Amino acid sequence: MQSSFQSADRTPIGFGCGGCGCGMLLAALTLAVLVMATASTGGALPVVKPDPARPDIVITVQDAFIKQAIVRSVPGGALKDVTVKFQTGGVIAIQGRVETTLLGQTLSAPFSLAMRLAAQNGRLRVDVGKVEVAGNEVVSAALQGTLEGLGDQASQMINKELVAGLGGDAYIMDVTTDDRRMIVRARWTGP
Amino acid sequence: MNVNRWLGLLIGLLAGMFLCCAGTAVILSLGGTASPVPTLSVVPSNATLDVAIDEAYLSRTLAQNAKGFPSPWPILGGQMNLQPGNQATFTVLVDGPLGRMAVTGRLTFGVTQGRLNIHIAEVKLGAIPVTGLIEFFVPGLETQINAEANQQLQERTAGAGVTLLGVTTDDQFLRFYFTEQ
Repeated sequence: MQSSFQSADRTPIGFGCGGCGCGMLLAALTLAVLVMATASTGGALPVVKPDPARPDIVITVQDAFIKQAIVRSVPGGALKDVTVKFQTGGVIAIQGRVETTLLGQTLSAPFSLAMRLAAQNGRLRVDVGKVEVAGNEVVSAALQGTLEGLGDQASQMINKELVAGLGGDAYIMDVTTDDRRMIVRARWTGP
Repeated sequence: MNVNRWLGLLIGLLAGMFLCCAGTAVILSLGGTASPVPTLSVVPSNATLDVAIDEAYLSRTLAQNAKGFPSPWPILGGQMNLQPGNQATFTVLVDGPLGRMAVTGRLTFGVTQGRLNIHIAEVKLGAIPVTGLIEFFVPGLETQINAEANQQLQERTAGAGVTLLGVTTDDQFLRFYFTEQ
């Protein structure tokens, strides 16, 4: 009886089960070899090192954006009909009207100013140049300090926005303008 | 040896290989097919500010941060290659069970209602597509990537008061287009 059972255990079904296992193993090994042959790599990926001469980010600003920023920066909507024109050399010419109400009377005077933007030690530097109000140039020795203060304030304001947007490790490389736009190139100095 | 036994062995061997191949086919079908290449995005006409990020910087960022990405296997590094048509290919090195392996894939970029939409269009382990398996191994990966990218965008543009209008790619730059709110 036992002999008959052992004999039955070595039937073709038993061999078939063994073969099935071997077949699955063989197919799995083939698949593994296929994956290894196509995906396996001994080397590392090339390391991209930062190039100090190449910007990581290029910001292009249209005149409409600057105009909106200037109008928003003066509370109460005092600036009207503002136009912004870019000139070469990082110069931005701004024109418009200042409007204010005094004793129920609305007073309005045209103004124009030119400012030059440049990169200085990784930050944006704003220098306010010629300022005209009601057609009269208001640059004088007495006002020069005020203009410098205005430039400093504008520099601080713009750099604060830049740090908020780009992070503290952003380094402004250069600022250029053509007749249509202003382009700021920067890189990150962090790791 | 009984002929029946040899026959049983042969049938079993073939059946085993068939089962394994069928199983692999099922798994690969779960891997899904690659998403079609998106149509070329045009520059929004009302954009007043555009920000272009260099491919080399994106590659450096991917390489530096790859180790922190969710993955079934440890990630050793990565690089990104921008291509025209709102897409980028990537290569990520993983320390897999079969050794160091390269996972390649393709991302597509779009903007929907002011939000950046990054889509994992294709992922391959060597020559084997595993796109659909990403959701199985790393559930919610795409959602997580999009949430983090949009949070960073929002934080970085909040002061400027701008809205995202569109995104394009070329060989070198990933460009975001904004307009003032």
